[in-house]
Amino acid sequence: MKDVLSFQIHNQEFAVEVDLIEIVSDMADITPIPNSRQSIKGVINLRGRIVPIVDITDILRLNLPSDHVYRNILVLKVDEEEIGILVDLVNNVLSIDETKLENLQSRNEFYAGKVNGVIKKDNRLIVFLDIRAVLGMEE
Amino acid sequence: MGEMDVYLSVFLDEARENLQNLNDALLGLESDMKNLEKVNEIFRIMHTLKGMAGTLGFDGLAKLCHTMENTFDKIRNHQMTVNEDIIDLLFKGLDTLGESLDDIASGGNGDTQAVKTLKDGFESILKGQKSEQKVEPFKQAQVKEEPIQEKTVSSVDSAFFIEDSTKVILKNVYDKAKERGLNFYFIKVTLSEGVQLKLARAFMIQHKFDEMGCEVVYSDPSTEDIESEKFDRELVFGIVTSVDPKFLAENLKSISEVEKIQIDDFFTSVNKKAVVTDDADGAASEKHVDSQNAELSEESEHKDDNPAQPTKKKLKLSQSIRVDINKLDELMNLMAELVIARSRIAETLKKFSIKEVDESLSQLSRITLDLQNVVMKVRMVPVSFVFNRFPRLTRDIAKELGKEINFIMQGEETELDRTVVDEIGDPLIHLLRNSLDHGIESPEERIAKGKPKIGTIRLSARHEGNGVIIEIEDDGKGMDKEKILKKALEKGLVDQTTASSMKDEEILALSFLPGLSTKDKATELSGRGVGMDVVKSTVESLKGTVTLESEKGRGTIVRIRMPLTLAIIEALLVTVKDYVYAIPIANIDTTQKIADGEIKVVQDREVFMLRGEVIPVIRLRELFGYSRTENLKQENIVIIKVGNKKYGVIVDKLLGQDDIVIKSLGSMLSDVKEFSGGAILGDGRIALILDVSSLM
Repeated sequence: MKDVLSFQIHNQEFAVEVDLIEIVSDMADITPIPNSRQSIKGVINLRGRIVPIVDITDILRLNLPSDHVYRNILVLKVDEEEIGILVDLVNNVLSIDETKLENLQSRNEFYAGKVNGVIKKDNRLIVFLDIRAVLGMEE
Repeated sequence: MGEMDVYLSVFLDEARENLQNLNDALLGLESDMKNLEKVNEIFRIMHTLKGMAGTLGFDGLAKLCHTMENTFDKIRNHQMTVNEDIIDLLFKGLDTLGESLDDIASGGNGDTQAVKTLKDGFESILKGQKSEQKVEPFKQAQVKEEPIQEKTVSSVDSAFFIEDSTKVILKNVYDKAKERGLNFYFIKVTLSEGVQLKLARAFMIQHKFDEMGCEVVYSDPSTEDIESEKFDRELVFGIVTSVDPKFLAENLKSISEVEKIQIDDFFTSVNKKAVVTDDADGAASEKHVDSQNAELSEESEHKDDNPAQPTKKKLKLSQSIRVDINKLDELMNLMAELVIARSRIAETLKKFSIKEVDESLSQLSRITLDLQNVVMKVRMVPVSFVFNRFPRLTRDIAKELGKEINFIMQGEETELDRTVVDEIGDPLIHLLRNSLDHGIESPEERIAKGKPKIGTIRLSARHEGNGVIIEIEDDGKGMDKEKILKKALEKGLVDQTTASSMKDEEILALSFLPGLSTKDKATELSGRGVGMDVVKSTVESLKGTVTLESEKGRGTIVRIRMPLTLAIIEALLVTVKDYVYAIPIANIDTTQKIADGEIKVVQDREVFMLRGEVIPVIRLRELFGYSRTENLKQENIVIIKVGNKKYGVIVDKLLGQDDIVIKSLGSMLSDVKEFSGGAILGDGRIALILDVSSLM
């Protein structure tokens, strides 16, 4: 069994391992970094630390409506490094059985290798992300 | 093995510290070969080192220490005189000890080949001078190991059996001790049955004596036998001390696996020739009569020819702890958070203007400021940290080059950030080599020039403003400006027209260019491909500057200016669009306003003229992909210098100067070359720090 935290971006629900989550923060002022990758929206001041902020929809090529506004930042700690992910809202922690994940063949190549599987819970379908792969931080 | 590792690292740290002290003392001895105080100091250090090595079972190391110690013992007993050969051999011994420690640090047993060879070297010296011992009959008895007297002891109940001839000698020692108001005790230490680390315990006991300021003048069995573990559970020591026997006994008892301590006054034991456990002294709690092992030998090491003057123990209580630098960074982060949180509270409460709150708030401000200063100071280490090895280094180089120098160090206590101190060593070594090799002339040459035969090199450090100045000054031949210029012209580093208009300092600065060496013949020391250009780039990478001052025939001064810390830099804050950026002050030449018309386009690059120099211009708005500000009559330009190159960056506004704490942007942003880091400003905003060398 594994604990995951689910969160919402636009109309899609995602999940990441609870172990990697450091803190959920309100939206903060983001200082843009010129000439950085498109998915990196900039950096925030998280209690005196500088933390880069990533919009994973840029990596997964999800289309967001033009008036979409993020409300929260999910701060992860991956290999001692803090990284913030923009989210709409954080839902809840779920205990999942990793052997019972649905494997969905995506038509979208950008998902390839970045998803552990799909969690079916009641009538929710949650994409369980391999967040290291999404952020390009695999060992 | 975990526990052992802890001891090992402590041992290595302490041993290195001892080696450094030894190095200093040896240098002192070299300059004043008659200085007995230094000899004694060296002897003490060697002894400590030997004990430490022995305790941990590094026999090779301990044996080398032992032979070196014996050498000093002879010196201080006037059986040997210090000469240059001995000093050289001792220095070599020092290096070998260092290598041996390195070997231990990397998992070896410290028994390097050099250790063995050198030990033999010392032994032959000792043997070579052995005949001198006969000159002093008294000494002979003390130093030359008396043949071990296998004695069948008739009185079984004798704890302190002392051979008659030894008694005479010890009586002498005793009398001298009494004169000085010191006591002479015999101490018998019985180790518990089945003791595991006999040798280690023996060393611990000896170490305890040292610690308590006791001079061991006699031991049974002899130190040699103890070292080769040729002893049973009992050890008898004769000591001269001012310490209360009760205290002695308690301290010795604290060593584990020590079963019994018996302390006896000199006279009682000598006269009665039998055990008297001095209950009156309260030192020994129980009677113990057992001595099947009373062979005698003279203790050579600890015998001072003047026991009435027991070596002054410098009890060096270490009042420092070692802290991982990352923890300090963490502390600094928290500090920054605190400062920001405080300003937020202040901001919020301002609206209400409550008097009581104002007071406590200003108090909080003061405290945070103090705290910030303390945290900053914690990261500082004195430059002696690197300076320490230079006396030895310069001595060796001078010797190699056949030059004579007087090396002076000043301001070693000046403090710098640990990270800076770590990096500054190599450039300094290079500069010192330069001074020795190219600067200071040979003694003959100096005499011919009417200069003092011995050259002077002065290395100094001092605070100045928000930084530290390190200077290397020599009274050598100075730099030949014509020669530099000629070389630079030959190599095409400057052209004829600029050359003719160059100022002195500009010519000297040419020597920082790669590929310019004024020495025709490269020696082994300098001219190995690392030149002044490396010095300059290293210093600049540490946000410092280096300048030269030189007069032909009089000498050269190299002046390095370093910021106090790398974690905090002085920066100029500027804005581009709505965001703040920081430019390190160390890289800024000037700032000025320029009219739009002053910027010209040459080969599709924008440039402008500054004091006759053509300077390329970078518009940060353009570089960052923002729209250009419209029709400004004037623009703010910051002239940046990197090495010998200059360029200008156009920014929106200049906000002013501030000290900023540099933070990493993390690996996600490592591909962005324009910024070397970020800093959090007082109001919580983030300023990105421009990496000025990448913008070119």
